[in-house]
Amino acid sequence: METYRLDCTPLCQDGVTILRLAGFLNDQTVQAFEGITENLPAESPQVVLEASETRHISSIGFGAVLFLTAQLRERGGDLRIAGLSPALERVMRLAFADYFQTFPSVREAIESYHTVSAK
Amino acid sequence: MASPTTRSLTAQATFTNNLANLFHMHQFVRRAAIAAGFSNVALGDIELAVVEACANVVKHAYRRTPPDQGKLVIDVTVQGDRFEVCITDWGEPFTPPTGRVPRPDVERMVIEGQRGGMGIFFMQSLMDEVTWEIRPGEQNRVRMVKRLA
Repeated sequence: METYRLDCTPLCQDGVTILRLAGFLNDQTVQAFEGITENLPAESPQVVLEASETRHISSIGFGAVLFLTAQLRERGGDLRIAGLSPALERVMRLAFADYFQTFPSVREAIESYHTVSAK
Repeated sequence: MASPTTRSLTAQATFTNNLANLFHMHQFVRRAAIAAGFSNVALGDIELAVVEACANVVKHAYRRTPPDQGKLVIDVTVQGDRFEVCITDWGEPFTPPTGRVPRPDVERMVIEGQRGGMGIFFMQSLMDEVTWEIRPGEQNRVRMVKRLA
């Protein structure tokens, strides 16, 4: 039976955790997303959500991303988003204004952490 | 070469109140929107609004109804540049907002650990028109319109 699929793979690059989010983040997949993000390494709270293959994020999916971001900020880190489609970028701005930092590419998102760290 | 688009179309599909059917509700409307000429950002707007509306029906209107015991009907009508989606259910009524709901209070969502709850905001923000027709004890219907720019 066809259904929503989410492939969320964490990997580490230059001291930053990259979360590649492919597919759909909504009511049907949010538990899988939260299961993965609950187990992110505690020592690296700097995260980039790589969203170039993210098809769709619903209200509950945005809520999960928001909550994860808040938790990472409490630990001195952040969640920055790379490669959002124009449609998702528009939705994110509508609902959350500038709460999230977004970047065209993963490389630029990673560099943003290093730029801040170098100051 | 651009694909031919549909300037007049009516389609209807019936689903049961199961979140497992959300994918098919979504794809039903997505296919119609593509046939009507929507793409990119406007297509994404329709998709998100419909997913939110359908999820609300399953989770709220049918919150006391066992899965697959309730019915949800989606009607799509395309007339010229007007793409209309009506979602009808026979679940519990709700009181629709009298105006536009405000942007979510992000700080409060974080403090309260709130997930979701932005469905109506998205529907109103992404579609050109959103109206509800609530007939308690009979049916609930939300009608959303998007115009092809």
